[in-house]
Amino acid sequence: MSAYMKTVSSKLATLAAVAVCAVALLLAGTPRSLALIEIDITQGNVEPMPIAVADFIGSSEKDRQFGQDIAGVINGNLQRSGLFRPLGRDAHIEKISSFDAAPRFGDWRIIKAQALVTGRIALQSDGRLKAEFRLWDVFAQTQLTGFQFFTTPRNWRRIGHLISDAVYQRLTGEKGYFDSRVVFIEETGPKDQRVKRLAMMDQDGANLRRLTNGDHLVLTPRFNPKSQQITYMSYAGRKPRVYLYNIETGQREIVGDFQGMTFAPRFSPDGRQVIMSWQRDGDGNANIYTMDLRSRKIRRLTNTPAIDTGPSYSPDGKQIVFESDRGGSQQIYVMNSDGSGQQRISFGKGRYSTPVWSPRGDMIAFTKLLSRRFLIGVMRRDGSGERILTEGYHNEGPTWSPNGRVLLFFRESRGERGGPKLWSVDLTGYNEQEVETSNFASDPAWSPLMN
Amino acid sequence: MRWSVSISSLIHVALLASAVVVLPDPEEFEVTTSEAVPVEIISEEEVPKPVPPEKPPEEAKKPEPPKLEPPKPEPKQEVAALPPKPEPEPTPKPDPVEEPPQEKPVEEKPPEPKPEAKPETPDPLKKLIESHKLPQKKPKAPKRPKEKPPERFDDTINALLNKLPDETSAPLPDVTEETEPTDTPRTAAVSQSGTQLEREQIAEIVRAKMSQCWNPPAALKDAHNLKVTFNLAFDRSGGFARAPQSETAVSDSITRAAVESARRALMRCAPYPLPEETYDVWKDMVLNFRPITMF
Repeated sequence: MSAYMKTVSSKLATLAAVAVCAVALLLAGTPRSLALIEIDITQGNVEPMPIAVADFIGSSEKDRQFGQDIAGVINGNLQRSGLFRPLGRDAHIEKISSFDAAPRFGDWRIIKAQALVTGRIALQSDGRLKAEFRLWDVFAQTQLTGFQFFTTPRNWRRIGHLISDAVYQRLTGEKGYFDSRVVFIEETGPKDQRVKRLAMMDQDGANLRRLTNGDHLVLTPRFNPKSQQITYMSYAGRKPRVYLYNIETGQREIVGDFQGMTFAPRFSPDGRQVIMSWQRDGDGNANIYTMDLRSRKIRRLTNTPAIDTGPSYSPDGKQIVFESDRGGSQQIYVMNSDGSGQQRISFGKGRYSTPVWSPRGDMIAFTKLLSRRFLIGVMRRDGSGERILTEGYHNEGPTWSPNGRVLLFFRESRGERGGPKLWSVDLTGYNEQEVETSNFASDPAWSPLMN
Repeated sequence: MRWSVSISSLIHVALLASAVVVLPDPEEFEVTTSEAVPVEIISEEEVPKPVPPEKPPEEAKKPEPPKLEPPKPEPKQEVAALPPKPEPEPTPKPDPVEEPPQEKPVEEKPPEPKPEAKPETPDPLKKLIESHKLPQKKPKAPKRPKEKPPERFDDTINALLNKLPDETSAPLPDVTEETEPTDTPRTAAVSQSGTQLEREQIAEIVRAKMSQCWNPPAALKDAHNLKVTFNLAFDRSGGFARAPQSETAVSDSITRAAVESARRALMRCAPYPLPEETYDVWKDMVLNFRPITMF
């Protein structure tokens, strides 16, 4: 593949021409035929793929209930991804009765399903839940993949997410993102007296948990990519400071012993360092520092009389994107992870902030202030190909799904009763939707995949 | 009076004391340790394929196994025992889905005891094609600035997908009107069978069918580098004389997904309403699927 890509990438320039002329009829000199007609297909159907998720079968009422619920989680995930269109079970003709026999593919073709998920649930005598599934290609009439899982029954939603990820990966070729969580700031109370709590939920909004009690302002929570740890900024000590929080133990600590304010923290991809901004007491400027979490060693990366903040590592850890107003207005810059080679990459109109490097490395998401509107956009790592995915009165704080395919951000609504809510949009800019939360929510951060 | 004062003060003290005792230090806000769902709890293994369906009444077509790789025998025909595959995945792997080592065996399907593809297309398929008119509601591009040839194809896509509020900003390349390829095909070789018109007509039919039936895998990072090639042999009725075969070597999950999506599209669209009088022109065909317009 890579060799192939290399040869192809050298032809990138000509590719545009090829693409515009979709049909190229070429003489292919294959020996078994004198003359072949050769056709390029570049246009597909951009409709989401119709897929059927049959209720998972089970031998007891309880099993079947789990089966239905898990199928519901899978349907919800696939639907929200925008890439699939789950067919309602009322449309299903075949009622799956056996997990071990092939389904009647014809029945599924008639309702236009291209893929089918079947499954079986069995509560074990030791109290564990056993869940199996198969993904079928309805047209090729083959099983594409299949797994079985054992877990405690209260983990049943995760089973649904794991199966969703397996289906997603098999059919799109890219990793899924469903078995993940989102940490965010839950906001309650009137606008001038908001109580802000650190909260966490599953990627689909289920299993909400509040991690702080709202006594202190908390902002910008971020997941450690390698462990059950969050870093965030809090005013607990009256001054904004960067904290670490262990999800499993509830333990928290201040990062480093900095005189002044520390803010905008993020972990390095290996989870061993926190990168953040430090504004010393009496200074009007902020610079970017890293702290090694084991050795507690601090390293200064930028040194300007400007505000350098919002640092975010590339997934390989070699580069850092950040925002700075050193050139007069807030723009996006990239530097090497040792602070060398600082270079501006955003040159569009408006002000840029909160850059975030995509987990798959090819894109940088950002917030952009333009004509008094806040937009969420992406650009390539060199700043080219800027594209706005969503715009409006106030959008802010993008965070990537673990596969780099979807962005979560918060959108503030106007007015006395207005407030922030979480929204998602995929890389194409379509499929924008609200993530339902019971209260106002801001500052989302997506976790890596949990397994 | 004294009493009430002392009672009052006692109650005050008690209240204060209880506040100290009862109200926890905010810094020590407790979190239930059950928060974390240990990943280790979930074990997974692969589910082997079930017994191939005994009575496939309408399933005439089975994709032939690609010849490139040696076919791997299926370890088990029964699920009942559910033994792990030769490459067992002991316990929670970092990844629930198959990893590269497994991918090859999965892609190269062992030859299954299936009837070879028949020339005639079965009826249900035909019906399906007829009834199958998907609503063509493509997402509208929010904005199409005026013409200028795009420098890079994905810049074109970028620009089309760009949701800028007003025309002011953005260092974007301008876009040509046609995101869709032009309809005029370009003939590269003269020595083909059939007249150019005939070949254009054929290409037109196939392309129209594919634009209906093909759901290219979206979300591809390097989609513009991807090309999936199929060698097709048709019978006179426009069905497949043999199951569609891909020439593309499957080296990763993205290519595999692309190959499978193309194969699904081909089978879903059959038969093809190709003109019988030019059968010699289209009885053998090469289709190149390029999901470049998707992300």
